[in-house]
Amino acid sequence: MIVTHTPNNTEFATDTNALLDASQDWMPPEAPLDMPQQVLEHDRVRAEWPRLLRLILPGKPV
Amino acid sequence: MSSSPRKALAADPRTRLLRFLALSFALLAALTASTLLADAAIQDGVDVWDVVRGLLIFVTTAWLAWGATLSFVGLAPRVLKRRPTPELQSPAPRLVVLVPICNEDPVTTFARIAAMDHSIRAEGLAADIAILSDTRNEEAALLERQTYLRLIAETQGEGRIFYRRRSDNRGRKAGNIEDFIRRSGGAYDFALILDADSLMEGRAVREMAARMQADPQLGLLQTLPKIIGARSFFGRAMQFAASFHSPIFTRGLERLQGNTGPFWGHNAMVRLKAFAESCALPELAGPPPFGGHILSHDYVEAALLARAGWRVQVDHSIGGSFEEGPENILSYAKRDRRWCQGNLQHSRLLLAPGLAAWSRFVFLQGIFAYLVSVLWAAFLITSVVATILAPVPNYFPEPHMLFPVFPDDRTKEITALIVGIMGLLILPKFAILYEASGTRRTARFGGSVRAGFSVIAEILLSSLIAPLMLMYQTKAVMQVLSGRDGGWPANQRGEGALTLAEGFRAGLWIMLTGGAALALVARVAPDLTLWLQPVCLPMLAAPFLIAWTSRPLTHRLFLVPEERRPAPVIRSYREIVGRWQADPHAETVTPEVTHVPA
Repeated sequence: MIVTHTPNNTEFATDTNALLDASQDWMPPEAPLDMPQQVLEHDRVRAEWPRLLRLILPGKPV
Repeated sequence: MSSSPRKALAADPRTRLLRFLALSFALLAALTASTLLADAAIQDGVDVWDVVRGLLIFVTTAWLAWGATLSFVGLAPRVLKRRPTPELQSPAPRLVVLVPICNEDPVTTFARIAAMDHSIRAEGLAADIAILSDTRNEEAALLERQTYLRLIAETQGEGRIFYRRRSDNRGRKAGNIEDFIRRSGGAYDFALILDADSLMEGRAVREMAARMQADPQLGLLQTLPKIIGARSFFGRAMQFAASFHSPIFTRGLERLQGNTGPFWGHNAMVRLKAFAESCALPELAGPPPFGGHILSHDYVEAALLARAGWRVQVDHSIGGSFEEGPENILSYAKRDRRWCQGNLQHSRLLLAPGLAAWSRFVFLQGIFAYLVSVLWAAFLITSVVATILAPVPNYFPEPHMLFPVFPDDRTKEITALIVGIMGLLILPKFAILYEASGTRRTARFGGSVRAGFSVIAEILLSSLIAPLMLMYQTKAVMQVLSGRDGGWPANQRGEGALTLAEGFRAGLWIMLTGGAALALVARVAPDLTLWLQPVCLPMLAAPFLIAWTSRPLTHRLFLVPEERRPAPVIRSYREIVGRWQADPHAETVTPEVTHVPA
């Protein structure tokens, strides 16, 4: 998310507003590239097993 | 979630042989040190403290020997002929220079960008530059925007130089770059990743792009940045060491790491396709310091690129790559605290699925870089304890003996051990000096005599401040192990001379610890007092050392080539920043005129 709010500092308020408006045009070109999140820990996968078991076993809250 | 279907590249036989020899040397040195210590210690029988000391000296010596091995491997003559640098082919790759910043001084940072932009364009290269701000302070952010306008006016950079700021700083620097790639990565082939204090010649950027273009399997190419702009005694000593010794150590690293090279987070070019498909970092489960964002993300990204089958290489010979370094011991220690937490966090990743064995070893090395200080401290403490608890010698072991039996004097073994350890620390530096004299590399450092004095002065300074570093690193490790998160402090750039009062604030605890240790040892084990002087005396002088080494050094000791003949991009940066700082309120082009089409 990109900053668009106005700062509290009134001394810079006028300039800031102009700069904030302009800063929307300073963005790099839009050309999305997918970044799939990597798996680094075994534990996270292992942690899913107890949750799955609790789903299957009756009487155990998930 | 993804783990790449490709497999990490296997090391070639030459690299495997070098790794075997290097590890064997380190283990042999460690074994020798342990044997010498055991020989001296078992005179009065074996107790638990002797075993602990033996193990500690084994690990710490192995670490020192490994460091020395890097230089020996780097000094070995080249066997294979160096391949010529390829020329950039048409169509030229789409390049972007990424400058992630967070609460930096925008005037110096953007002046560097202006200088690099001039240099890149002078090489006939087309490259966009994206300033990726994570600055939280609104006033600082406003100053960034104002300085950005000045940068655009200076470079005529409309449509080429971009600025964007995140409100959500998720993932810190790695997240900042990831955010850019997710939004804009498809527009480029290669990205040159920089730090706020990085400076690179256009020629270097061109060479790196050509290398990436010529080798489609090369995922990341790391340069060896040289430190520039140092003024203090400490800073200039570091600058000299980085310029004189580091190329040899890095060449050793190149040869040992092969295709599983390092990423130091900046002054490196990445193939965006490779980076995007393999380097989106997850948050680690649990709270910091071991969970949460991955702090030392660069090592992990290098390991992930290698895991996905991409080549990751470092090349010390690419010139024109620069950065700035800490100017005093305090700034160095603050940076070290951050790196310590990041490296110790890697203990969570040692068993990460699919990593190349060498990547795991690199994580282990990073962890040991900090743990070894704790181990040295533990060795000193156990040595004192072992001496206190040693049984009183029995001069008449047999009844009715006329003459006493004195225990064998093992001072020779202990002296040999100390000389050996000092040798592992010092020998590589003198070997590099010898090589540099032989190849006339010393000419660029003011000649062989001046370079020799600089090497000796750097060794003396390193020896003096080593106990201080040991204390700071031990404190950092203890803080991390006790669960204290160091957070994400702003970089301490441009911090200069420290007063004696600041030296006392930073080093009083070290002084008191050194004084207490010396007093205790003098009382309970007076024989050890002399042996502990090299550690305790610098600790007693810590506040003075911290203040004294931060003072400007104008002497031509520690002369480096960049001081005698600065690279064009350094000269250009100094001219621009001088102009901007001389006239901070100069008119910038108004935002309306500098609108950049998205």
